[in-house]
This record gives sequence, C-alpha cells and structure tokens, in this order.
Amino acid sequence: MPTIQIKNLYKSYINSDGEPTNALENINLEIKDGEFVCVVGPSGCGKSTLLEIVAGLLSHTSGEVLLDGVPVTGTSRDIGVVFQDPSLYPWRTIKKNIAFGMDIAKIPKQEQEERLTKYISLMNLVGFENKYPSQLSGGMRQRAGIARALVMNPKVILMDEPFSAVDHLTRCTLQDELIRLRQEEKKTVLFITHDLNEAVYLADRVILLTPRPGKIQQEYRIDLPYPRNRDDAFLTHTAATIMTDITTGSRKDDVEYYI
Amino acid sequence: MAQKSNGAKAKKFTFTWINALQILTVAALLISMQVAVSSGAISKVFLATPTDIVKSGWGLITDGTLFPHLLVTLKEVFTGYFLAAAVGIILGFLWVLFPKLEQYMSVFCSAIMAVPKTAILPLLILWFGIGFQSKVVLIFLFGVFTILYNTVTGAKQCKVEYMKVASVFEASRAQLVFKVMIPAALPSIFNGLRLSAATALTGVVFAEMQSAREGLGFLLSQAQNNLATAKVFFIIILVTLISVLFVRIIAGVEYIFCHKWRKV
Repeated sequence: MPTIQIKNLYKSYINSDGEPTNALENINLEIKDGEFVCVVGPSGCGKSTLLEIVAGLLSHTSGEVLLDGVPVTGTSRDIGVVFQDPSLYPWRTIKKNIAFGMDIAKIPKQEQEERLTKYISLMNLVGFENKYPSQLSGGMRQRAGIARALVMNPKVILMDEPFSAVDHLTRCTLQDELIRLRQEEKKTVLFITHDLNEAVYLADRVILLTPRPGKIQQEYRIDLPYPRNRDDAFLTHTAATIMTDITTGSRKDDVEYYI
Repeated sequence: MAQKSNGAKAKKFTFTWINALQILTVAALLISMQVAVSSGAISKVFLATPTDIVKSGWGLITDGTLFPHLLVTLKEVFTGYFLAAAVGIILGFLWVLFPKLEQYMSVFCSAIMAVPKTAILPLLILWFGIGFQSKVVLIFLFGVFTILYNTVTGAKQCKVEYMKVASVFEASRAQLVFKVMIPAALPSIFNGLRLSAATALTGVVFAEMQSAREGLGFLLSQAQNNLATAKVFFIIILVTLISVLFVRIIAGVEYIFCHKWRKV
C-alpha cells in the first residue's frame, strides 16, 4: 500500500476581497513507501499549501489525504517536517533543539542521548551541540532542522524548500547528504522546491504544478540510480523539459486570454 | 544570516577630547554653582553649593536619620514591584492561555490603566492609611499594567514558525506555553520589567511626599518645608541613583537569563 495517498484534493480559501479562491484543484498523488517525490512549480502555485495539508497543519476543503490508509486529520508523529526557515528556538542549544520533539514526547533521557549521538554525527554537527542557533551558519542550522525531524524516526519526511536559504555550495553539500541519508534511513520523502536542478538530482519522481490554482500539470520519472552525476545528460535534459513545460503551460493560458 | 556578533567583545572605551570637554562642562557647572551661591548672587533658598550638598548628605548619614527612611522606601518599592511583576506575568500568560479571560478582563484593565495613578492616591490613603500599604498598592498599580501588556504582547508575537514546529511535534497546550511561549516572550517580559522598574520609584517618592511619616519622599518634603535646599538636592541625587541601580539590577537578571543566546 502506498504510504501517502492524495485523492481529489481541493483547497480553497477566502481572499482579502472576500471571494473564495482555489489554491489547489483536484490533486491526485500516490507516494510509495521509500519513494522520493519532488513537487515543483512557479511561485504561488500552492506547493507549500499542499505540504502543510499533508503535514496536518492546514485543513483541506474536499478530497482525502491518507497516510498508510488512515485519513490525516491533524499533525502526527509519523510525519516529520523540515521548514524553509529551520525555525530553531534561539534559546535552546543545537542539541536541545534537536531533542525538542523527544522532550515533547517525553522519551526517556537515556534513549534521547542515544538517538542524539546518532543523528548529530549523521548530520555532521559534532562539536556544535552546545552552540546556540545564532552562532551557526545557515547551512548548519538547516542540518539541525533536519536532525530535529529525523530524530523522531518518522515514516514520512516533508521538506518545504529546505535549502532555498543557503548558498549554492552549501546547498549542493546538503543535497548529497540528504541522498546519503535517504539511502541509509529508507524514508519516504515529499520535497518542495523551486529549483529544477535540485528536483531532478534528488527525486525518483518530479511533479509539476500549474500556477494558481495548483493542478498537476505533468509528472516526470527519474529512474537513475544514486548517487547521481549532476552533469548527467538525462538529468539536465529533464530539467530543461520541465522548464519548457512551465513556460509553454503559461503561454497557452495567455493565448486563451487574448483570443 | 549568522549573527557572529554574539561572541564579539564590547567596544573598548577610549578617552577622547569629547570626554574631556564633558568633564570640563560638569566641573564648570559645579564651580559656578559654588561661586554663585557663596558670593550671594543666588540665594541659598534656590540653589545649594556642591560642598553644602555633600555636607548635608553626610550629616543625614552620620546622625542616623537617613538609613531608616531609606529602608522604608526600599521595602515599599520592592514589595510593590515584585507583586506587580508576579501578578503581571502570571495574568499575562493566563490571558494568552484563556483568550476568553482576556476578552472579559481587558476592558477593565484598560480602564484602570487609563486612570492617572497619582490621582487615586487620596482614595488609596483613605483605604490603606498613610503607611506601608498605600505605597505598595500605588507602586503595584504603577507597574502591573506595563508588565502585563508586555507579557501578553511578547507571548502573542511568538513567531508562527515556532508554533508550527511545536504543533508538528504535537506539543500539549502546557508544553506550548512553558517550552515555547514563555522563552519566546522573555525579551518582551524583561522590557516591561525594566520600564516599570524605572517608574516604581517615581510613584513611591510622590506618595511619600503627599502623605507619610517616613520614607525618602517624606524626608524630601520636610527638607523643602524647612527651606533646606542642600538637603533637597542630596535626596534627589540619592533617589536618582537608587532608580538607576534598580534598572541595572533588572538588566543584570535579564543578562543572566538571556545572554547566552541573544545580545542583551
């Protein structure tokens, strides 16, 4: 059974003029156990809205979101979320930030320590445990944000443009770490990004959403083994195809509009 | 971006010609006071020479008048202030936890807050007498609203992202308050504490000047009645110093709580 099933999902809200607006329209998506799916699309297409609905942070208007066959009605410990801004608590050290979820879940201290040791070294944060977020670089902070989600051992990890705020080199490093991590931990990942090269480099499958209201415009399979080569002809070609599809998709709209 | 400034050392103080000019200005002011009063150009009733101020201050200390009055004032200030802090912070979080309570209470709090506190002093004296209690109540009223509203604002301004993280991990309401909202509100709470520390002494000195048999304000109005202007100057300086020290102590407590993770 697929881990995440999204069926006929609609999300509308009342905009500032008091009119209902559709953010997401008829989204149908199945993400299999262990699959890495990237969602791309132009700004404002509802990518983040989709992620927050799956995370249980936002309600949807109609349709269904199932996790292992069970409807998602709110947040769940089976779902870990990594935010764009890692949103670490500035008053907690890195170690205490990573342990936050375990503190909330009242996991015994000894087990906490074991898991912390594992994920701090997995995310290359050894030596930074007792630093505060303000003392760390953006990349380091995002590593801590990922560790905070992983340490709870969720089945599914949702990532909302997690690398968009770090510099290019750090981003490449973090991408490679994520691929390594995903192979070691065998997690199901739903990853939101606006970076097409990042999407094709990371994912088994890339989903392209149309501009508002967000509908699934196209799906691309990337059946390449990991680790991948960034220069791989197929990857660059796919990224270029997606780019073309984004622009032609909007050009079609323009033509309809003017005629 | 990373704030590396956290570990940076405080700017080193270097003595410049501007500092020299400042010291000269103060010295000139003191000397002209001394000359103007001792030459008789300005009457002793209106101004005091610096030497007289020091002398009268020393007199108050050595003859044992000052200390009991100082103690009375400090006791009033600290009691009133700590009551205000405790009630303000606890009530602030109750408001955030139970919005209905805020809806119900805030109109009354705003109404009481709007009353100039010094105007209700006559009532406070009727109800609580001219001693310790009326002063404590006045200082409490002076401080509690500032602390309350700063606490509420701080807790409400807690970043949406912080709350999202907490709800992803399914934090309970109590966990949300104690592990996220209180720490996030700390800077704002300390802001309120510092502001009300600065006004606490104003309240008590005013109340003691109006009606009291002890305290620094009482001493001040007594000196005024006796036209002991040097004494008046000394007490004003003393009260100012206490006020500054008080604010410093609060800032020190804030430093202990927060310096590790943010610049204070």
